Amino acid sequence: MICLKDNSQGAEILTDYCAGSLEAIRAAEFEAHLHDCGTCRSQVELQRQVWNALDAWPPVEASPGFDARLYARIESEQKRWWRRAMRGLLWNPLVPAAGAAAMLAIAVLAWIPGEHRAPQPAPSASAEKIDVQQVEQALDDMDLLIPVSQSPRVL
Amino acid sequence: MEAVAALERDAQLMLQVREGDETSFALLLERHRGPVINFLYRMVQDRAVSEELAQEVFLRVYRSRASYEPAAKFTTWLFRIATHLALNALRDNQKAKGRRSLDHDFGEAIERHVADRQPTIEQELIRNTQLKEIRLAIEALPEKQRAAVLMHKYQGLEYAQIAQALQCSESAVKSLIFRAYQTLRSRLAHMAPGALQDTRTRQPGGAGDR
Ligand SMILES: [Zn+2]
Repeated sequence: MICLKDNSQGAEILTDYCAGSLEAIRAAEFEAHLHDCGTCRSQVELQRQVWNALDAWPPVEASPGFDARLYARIESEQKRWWRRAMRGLLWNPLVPAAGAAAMLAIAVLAWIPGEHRAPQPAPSASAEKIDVQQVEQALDDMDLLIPVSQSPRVL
Repeated sequence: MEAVAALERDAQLMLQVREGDETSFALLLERHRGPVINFLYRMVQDRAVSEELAQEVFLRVYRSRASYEPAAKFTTWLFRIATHLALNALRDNQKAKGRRSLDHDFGEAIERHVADRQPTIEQELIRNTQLKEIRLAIEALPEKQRAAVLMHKYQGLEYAQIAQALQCSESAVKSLIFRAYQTLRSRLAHMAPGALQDTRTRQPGGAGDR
């Protein structure tokens, strides 16, 4: 017999029973008890009313621009990361110019083909082909060819 | 069985995101956008804030892709991030908290409601009053109780998952949930079941947002 009265597991039985997650054998046992126990019946009735009341709160839809905003944020965050990484390389006095250029080329090669791209919009098919002009273009895009003091502040 | 399949699917997708697969991230977003937004919306009761927080959740998921390991269920991990952000936002905005956002959003819910079914004005008034009561009752719960009961009721998460999301023990989570339902029973159980039933049948997914 399962009665909620003076039962340390009463709250759990009541919650699980009304949520439909009480295991079948215990649920059947509890249902049999409900026929004879008015106290438990009224507890179940109250909990069901709450459960149903909460169902009456309608879910909301995402606003139409939700995904686009998210992808734009991912993209801009990645650009910032890229800029910071490149600046660190270019303006570090401990890194000689030739070494910095080599590291830059490696970083660009490592960056462009895949995993650091924002998930959308889809990249162009030529992304894997890297040449000098492309690297220069990327640097231009990232404001890397102007000194830090003149470049816009990176947040 | 379905839950196991879902776990494998989400974890698999996230591992593919880790490998640089953009489509998998879009699929994860598609699968979890609604539940996350709704959880956050019911936590903070403000459309704009909940969307902003949801953006932050998915941004963090994306940021964490390189270090992702499917140690816990993906949903648990996701709701741990969402809960953390929601609780922080509620704490940050405690001072500014007022009735403004609730009333603003409530107006929106009323509009949608009317468009859906065109019930009589009297039915509509009863429903709106009840909806407002539900929202106030949830809003009045202590924050952790609120988070726990929302994940239990609308997301169908298990006690163990909610415990991980809230970073506490399973027995602590049970205590939070049972106390929350007890409070809600005393506040909401007087509602006429007939009117609620009427509203409920209109909802897609009925028992929750899963
Ligand atoms: Zn009993």
